[in-house]
Amino acid sequence: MKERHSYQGVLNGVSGIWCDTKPEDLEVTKVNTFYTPDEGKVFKKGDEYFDCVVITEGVDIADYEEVEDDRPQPGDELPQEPAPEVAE
Amino acid sequence: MPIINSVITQGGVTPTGTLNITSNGTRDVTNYAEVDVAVPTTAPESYIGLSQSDGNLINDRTSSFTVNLTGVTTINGNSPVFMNAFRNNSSITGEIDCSSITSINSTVVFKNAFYFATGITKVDFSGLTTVTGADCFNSAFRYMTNCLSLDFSNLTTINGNYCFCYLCYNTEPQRYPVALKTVDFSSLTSITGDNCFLYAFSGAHNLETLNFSSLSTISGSNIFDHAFVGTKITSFFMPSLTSISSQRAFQECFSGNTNLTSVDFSGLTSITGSNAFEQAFVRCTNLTNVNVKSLETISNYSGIGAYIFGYCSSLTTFKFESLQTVGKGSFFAMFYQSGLQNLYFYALNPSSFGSYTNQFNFMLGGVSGCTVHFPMAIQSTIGSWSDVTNGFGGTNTTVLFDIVTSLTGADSNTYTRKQKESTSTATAWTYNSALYYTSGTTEPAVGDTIYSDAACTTAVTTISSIA
Repeated sequence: MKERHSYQGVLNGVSGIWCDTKPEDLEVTKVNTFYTPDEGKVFKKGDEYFDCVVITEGVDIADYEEVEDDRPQPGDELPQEPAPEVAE
Repeated sequence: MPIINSVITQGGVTPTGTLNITSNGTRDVTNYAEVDVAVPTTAPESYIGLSQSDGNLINDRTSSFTVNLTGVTTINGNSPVFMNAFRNNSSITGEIDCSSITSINSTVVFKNAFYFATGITKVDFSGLTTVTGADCFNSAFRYMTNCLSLDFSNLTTINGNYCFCYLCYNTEPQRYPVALKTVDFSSLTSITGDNCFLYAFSGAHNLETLNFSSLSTISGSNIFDHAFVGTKITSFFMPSLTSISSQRAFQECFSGNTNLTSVDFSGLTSITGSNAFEQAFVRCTNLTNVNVKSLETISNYSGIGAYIFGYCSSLTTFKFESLQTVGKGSFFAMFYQSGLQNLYFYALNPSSFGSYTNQFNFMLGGVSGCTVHFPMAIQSTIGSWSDVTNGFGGTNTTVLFDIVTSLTGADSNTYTRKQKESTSTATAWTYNSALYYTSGTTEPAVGDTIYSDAACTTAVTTISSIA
């Protein structure tokens, strides 16, 4: 897993959130910490899966297990009607 | 009284006489110039004259025939009248004129009718206005290697499960290259029925033009499921469609289609069907432009589908001009691994979300360097949501609350943003039901001029404050 950060604040008069990279002139008002799993993995807590865990009050990354992601992926065949036979 | 009269004209050998087919038996019309087909009007008596056999309406496979159904106007009852009628028959050539047929109220009428009829160049159903009945055209035009166009240009209403499913479906386009280039459903306004266009044009690899420009209402599940996969369509437009409540209505409809460059759902206001767009445009790697400028609502407890624009590497900008209501998981993996660099939500407001339910969860999974623009007014609502502070699952995401949604002029009037009316050179605002404009498409600032025309030539006032 990877520990990452995002930075909330004001840059050139515009409010926003900058993830992973903090602009030099950003007036930071808050720093957030979150975790993302390694490639092909996902966080699991109980029966629920998470692509990301954001650390807030009461949330501890130690409560999450990093497991293989066996959920369906885009491009996986979905159930479909059988095709009619091909003409000869 | 017969309600169907078909005329079959033989080429080559000079035919004579007329054969009346009114009961079961041979359908060898080799020596007849005309065939009149009488069909009982009352169900359940079923006529088998042209159906059930494998193209044996004409037993002579060596001569060239043309077929016209010019006497047929209405098909009623539950008769498979033309099912398989011309199937696998290459001796029928030229255009098939079915234009006198105005309505069909029966099941499986043309199921497999022209399947692998390789001599036919065009099928004309231009007089047909209504089709009611399941499986009516199921697989009707598959593997017609020389058919260039299908004309359903006056058809307004379809009602029946599987009615046009597998219509031109080609599972082996390299083995069976088909010529079909144009399909016209330009008057079609209403579709009712599950799986109505399921796989309908999938694998029709030369299909360039498909017209559904009047379609406004759809009802039933999986209506366009996988319908346009593997076609040559570059621009897909359904500008009259206003709402989608059907589950999986457009599931994988263009999945993997690398010819598609633009999509127009400009009249669509709400998507509420479960998984309605599941992987609809996944891996459309040349898709650059998507128009959903009227879309106001995306909401379904199960979501409207994941990976809708997944792997669309050429899709760099996306705008939700009118979106105001967002439900649970609405955007899950919507732009997964795409090339998105700028995403705009012009019309969201503090009341758009109800309670927090991970509305933006993983929206930008696998996307790097995207900037997401929100109205200033919703920062206090979503600014602390975990799916926002983690950058929507992307890397190096920037979230900006930089969209101005209302202006106050020096005239003391309050102008409200009307983004979908904006042009490429001016941003639209409304006050008292009239449209006004600020010059350019960047966010306006205090002191900028407000104009009464899109060309920004007639000044009205200046901006005194923004919000």
